Amino acid sequence: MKNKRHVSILLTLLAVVAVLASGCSSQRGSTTVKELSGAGATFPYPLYSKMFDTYDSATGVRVNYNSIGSGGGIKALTDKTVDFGASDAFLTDQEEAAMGAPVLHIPTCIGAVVLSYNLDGNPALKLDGTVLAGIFLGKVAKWNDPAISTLNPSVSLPDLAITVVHRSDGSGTTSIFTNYLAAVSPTWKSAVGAGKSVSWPTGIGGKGNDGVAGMISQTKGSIGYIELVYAVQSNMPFASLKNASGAYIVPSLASSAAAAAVSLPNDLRVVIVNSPGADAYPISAFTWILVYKEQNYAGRTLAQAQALGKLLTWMLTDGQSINEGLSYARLPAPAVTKALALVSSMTYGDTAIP
Amino acid sequence: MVTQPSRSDRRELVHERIFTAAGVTAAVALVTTIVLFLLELFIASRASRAAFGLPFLWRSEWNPVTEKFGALPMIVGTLVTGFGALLISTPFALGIAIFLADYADRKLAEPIKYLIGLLGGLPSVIFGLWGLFVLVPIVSKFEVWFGKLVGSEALVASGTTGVGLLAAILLLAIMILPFSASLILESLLVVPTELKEGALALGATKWDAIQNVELPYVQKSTVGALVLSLGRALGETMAVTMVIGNGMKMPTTLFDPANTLASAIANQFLEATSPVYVGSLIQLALILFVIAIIINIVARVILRRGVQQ
Amino acid sequence: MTPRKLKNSVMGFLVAASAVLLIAVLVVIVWHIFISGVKYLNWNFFTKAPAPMGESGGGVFNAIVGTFLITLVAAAIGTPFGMFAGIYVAEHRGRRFADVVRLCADALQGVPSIVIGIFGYTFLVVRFRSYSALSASIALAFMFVPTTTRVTEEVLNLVPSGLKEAAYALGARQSSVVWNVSIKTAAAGITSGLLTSMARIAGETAPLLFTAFGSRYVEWNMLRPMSALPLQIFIYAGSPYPALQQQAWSAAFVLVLLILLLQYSAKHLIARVLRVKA
Repeated sequence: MKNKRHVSILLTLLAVVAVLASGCSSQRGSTTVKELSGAGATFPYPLYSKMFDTYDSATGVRVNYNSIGSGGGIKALTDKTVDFGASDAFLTDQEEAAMGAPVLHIPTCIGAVVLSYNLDGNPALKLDGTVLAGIFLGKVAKWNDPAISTLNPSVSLPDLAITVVHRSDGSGTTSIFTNYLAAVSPTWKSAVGAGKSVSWPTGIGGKGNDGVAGMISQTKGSIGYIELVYAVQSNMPFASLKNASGAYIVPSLASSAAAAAVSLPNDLRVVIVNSPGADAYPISAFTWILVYKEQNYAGRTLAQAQALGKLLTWMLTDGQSINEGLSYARLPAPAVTKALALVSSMTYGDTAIP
Repeated sequence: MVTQPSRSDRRELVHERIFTAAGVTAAVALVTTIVLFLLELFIASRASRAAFGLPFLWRSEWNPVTEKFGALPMIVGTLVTGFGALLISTPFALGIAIFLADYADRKLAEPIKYLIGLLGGLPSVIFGLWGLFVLVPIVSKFEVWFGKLVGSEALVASGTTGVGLLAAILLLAIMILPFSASLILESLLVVPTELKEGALALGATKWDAIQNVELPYVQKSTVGALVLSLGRALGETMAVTMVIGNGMKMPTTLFDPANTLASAIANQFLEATSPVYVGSLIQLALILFVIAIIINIVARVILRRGVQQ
Repeated sequence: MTPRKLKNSVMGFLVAASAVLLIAVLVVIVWHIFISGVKYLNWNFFTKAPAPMGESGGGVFNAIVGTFLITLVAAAIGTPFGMFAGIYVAEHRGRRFADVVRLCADALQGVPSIVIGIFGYTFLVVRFRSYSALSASIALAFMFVPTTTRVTEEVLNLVPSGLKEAAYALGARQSSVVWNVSIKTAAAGITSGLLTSMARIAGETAPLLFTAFGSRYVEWNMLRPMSALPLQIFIYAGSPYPALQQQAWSAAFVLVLLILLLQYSAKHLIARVLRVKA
């Protein structure tokens, strides 16, 4: 009977798989940690991906990073399902409370959010915070609105409706952008507020930086906010913005780094939008890696905590040399010093990690 | 008879016990699973019920910033896409089933049945991939054309993306077509041939026989098959998630980006941080679970009655 | 032509047209997957893990390994439950509890995959404190069990009752009748059912989103995050990089091949069992 064999062969095969799988799984708990896992922000993903690949070849430690969005990174750390989270927005008080333990914010690079648009001939535009808030509130609805044309006397603007494009998913980019609008426009602050996803008064939504970029390039008369890297990569025009000291600044690596040239608090939990520096691009921000200060939780070993500390230290020192090649601004020296102090303040069982 | 059971007999008795125990255990486990799902989802979503209570079902605001959540836009999105897809696919499903049952000879029917099986077995994510890169650009062109036709500038502007309810409905219609067609075909094949032959002998045309004899005979099981297909469409996740646009507002036209219960969860669950947000998404899963269970049981009952008749 | 005859022809045409349309749609979809998929296939695609973002090259070996491991372990976990539940239902036909079990299996089959994903997250991932391939396998097992139960039952119902009665007449116990007569007669059918169920879960994405989670590395440890082909397709499809979108098509092609292979083996076995009976 051949038929008998089918079931027994398959069953044996499945049993072997089960045994193998459990065998593989028992590697856990060895003393040297060869694997770390993280999740979160999409904006620094190209950078992290390159950093972790370099780190793997240098040290043999694999870091599995999934770019699922800043909100996702915070959630994963809250649920303690990853070694570290990553976010473009620092924790709100409520999120911090949900964590149940102190969390460190380790910055890794500086990003800029730019206003990209689609107009015939793509003229170079100048905008300021008030006009921008007006556009995103739906109050400035046409491109030839006096509010815009007075800022751009040399540009002939069309009688065309403005289509606002925003993010539809929870995003650190949105958080940076809305934080800026809330900082410069009291109306925005009270009507909409700031956060990873907000209730937009007007416009259409795209998923991810690329989704928004795609919609802008397909829609005449549109304007939307995206990370500088994405605008540069896809050759899209972007506006110069008036900063807090009154100058119009073109977003760039240098002008976003200049935004961090302010006195930084020791915990580095700081919003650098609307930075007072003379050359600072106003919508700049740190992106952070989030870790628990006390590393002895949920059955973690000292070895895991050590491996995490080493990774973070490397990202702040050797790893920084990767930043600029990939269009991310390096951290300024004072920020690196403070970040390294934060990393060494991590503890395991209330004592410093050796 | 023998009072002392032989050794092999005793061994068989042990086998029998183990065997029965395994069967009962597995059966009980299966039933327990449903209860476990209900319990787990119910417990994990309590933060949402504590915050919003029953009005969660009919509130139309979904705002993660102010943490006000209502399921109505997703319920509407689910119903619109599900029924829309069913409406489009049903005539075709009926047509294909009738073609295979009454028109095609075996040589033609077998390969087509095989193709239907193939289409039905393709994973959702692959339909999504195809939908995103092939269907959505077509829908987008249609939307611009339609916008110009009715002279709506807003439609032209919002429609250019192509993602939204319409794309989701079309993709779903394609996806449930093989499923409903093969279910309807199954019931058509059990119609006694004497009935049809009798009608034909009385001078009826082929279509007369189909319309007056065959279709009334399978009425119940066809309804069952359609309800089952509806259940599929309502719970379909990946393909819809990839083409519906993740809109959180109540949709007003077929071109609007929207969400179904399933796509809202897939799009937002990983990024939901606060307990109320997470709880509300799990509450959506609970609603979806209950709808799916009810629809499935109703459909099976109808199908079984159809067969018994 | 009388109106009745006209109607007859028109309806005949419409019915045939809908079949043609279905075939056209199918051909278009499969054509796209095939053309776009094959174009970017190369050796690296099958043997390498993904390259860092923005760098060329790299493949989906990590996802291929993941799909095999996750699917096989899910089947290993689900098979005993599904098979024994199926045997139970088949052997106790007509009893109330057997009806309840059958109804539950039907209902479970209709549970949307995303709900199973959420359950996997709250029930397993949060408890284990880690995303893991194992929790993905367990989640998929919840989809595997009901299908297997129903298939096993259906196949066992096909076993000629004469065979069983003969065995009973010879004084055999129920367990040995089921094991030695029913199962062995239905073996090929059950195996083909298992393969069909595996084909179904191998393509599932939603239950993996919040459980297996994905990994850039080739991972063999079931307790760690792991990638899988459907997951990789979903992530790459939404990425802004054309190179990754192309890999999504190639991964789709590989996944479809894998599923076709499973379905083909299943079909082959069914054809064989029918021949044996005839």
